[in-house]
Amino acid sequence: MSLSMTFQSKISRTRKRLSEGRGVAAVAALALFGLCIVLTFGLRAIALSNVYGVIPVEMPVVAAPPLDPAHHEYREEPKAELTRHTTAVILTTEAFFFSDLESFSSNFAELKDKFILRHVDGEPQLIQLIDTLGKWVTERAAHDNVPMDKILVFIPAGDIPMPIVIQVLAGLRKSPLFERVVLGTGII
Amino acid sequence: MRPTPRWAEACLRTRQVLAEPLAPLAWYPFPALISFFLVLLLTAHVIFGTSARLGTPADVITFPSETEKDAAIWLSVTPIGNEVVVTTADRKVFRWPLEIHDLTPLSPFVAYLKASVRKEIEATTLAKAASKHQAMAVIAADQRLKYLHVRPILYAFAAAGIANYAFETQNPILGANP
Repeated sequence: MSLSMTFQSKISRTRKRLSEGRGVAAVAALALFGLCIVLTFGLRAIALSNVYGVIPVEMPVVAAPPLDPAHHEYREEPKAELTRHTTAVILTTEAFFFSDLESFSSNFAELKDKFILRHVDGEPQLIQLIDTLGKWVTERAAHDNVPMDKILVFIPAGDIPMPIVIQVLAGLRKSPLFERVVLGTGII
Repeated sequence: MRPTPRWAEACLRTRQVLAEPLAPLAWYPFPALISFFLVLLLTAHVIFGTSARLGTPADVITFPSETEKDAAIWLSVTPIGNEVVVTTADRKVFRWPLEIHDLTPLSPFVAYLKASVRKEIEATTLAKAASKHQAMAVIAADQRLKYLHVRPILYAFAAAGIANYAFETQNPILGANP
């Protein structure tokens, strides 16, 4: 038997085998596909953490405690207040701007009382911001007699993605200089 | 002579099939499939009822943070098409356009928040005990959202009298508790 005949015989045998077991092959392919899907979901599920956490933020409220007519006459007092000296950080797509609330409100047009920290290749320089803020707040408390109230107002621009907002919030909260972070809106 | 109705024929066939000593290949998978799908349905209900996060489309960032406290209000916020879709822990869905200029489209959402806060206050009063984080609202914000899309929710919180809120993150598997 020549080589070509051997090949032709093999091909015909394979054809016959495949034509007989077409249903089985389809079921096997379907099963393999299903297995791949299950494995994909399973591997994804075990690669994800099931532990969730939160990054707390605060909203300033106006203190209006109701009168307590009971015996103790309990009256709730605010623990901290936003003042014109409260530190404010503004995040835009180009830079961080920081100063006190007065600079971003009544003195908004003044250019000399604000500090700028530009992003490098579009990446916000958060560590550098925290260091610089720390130096500025400490120096201001020492020289200008401005109390360190440990509150910070953070105002991101509208087009900042939420993951960046959340990470900056977390970074600012980790700083020992700021215990409370207020997320603001409205300027930009 | 009246023709035999179809259901009677079907009953007759089923009786013959069940009377077979050995189950023929044509019918035996169906009871198994029915029970399989019933178990699947039950499992899906149990799983989706266990955690509010399952079945909500928000893909939160993976970032180490303090583990979640017992927050009363949980919201999943996702952009779908040209809308912001908010799904609550009790599977209520609110939606409004991505860019809005007043709180009118959020009126049902504000009403829901007010009702939730009132419910928490009532529960706290009856229990005579309150935890610090009980009146906190947690936002599971999708990574595709911009701050612009979340701002109306903060205004809604202010309208509903919620001062404490937080953003949810998924802790990485390593270093979950910083």
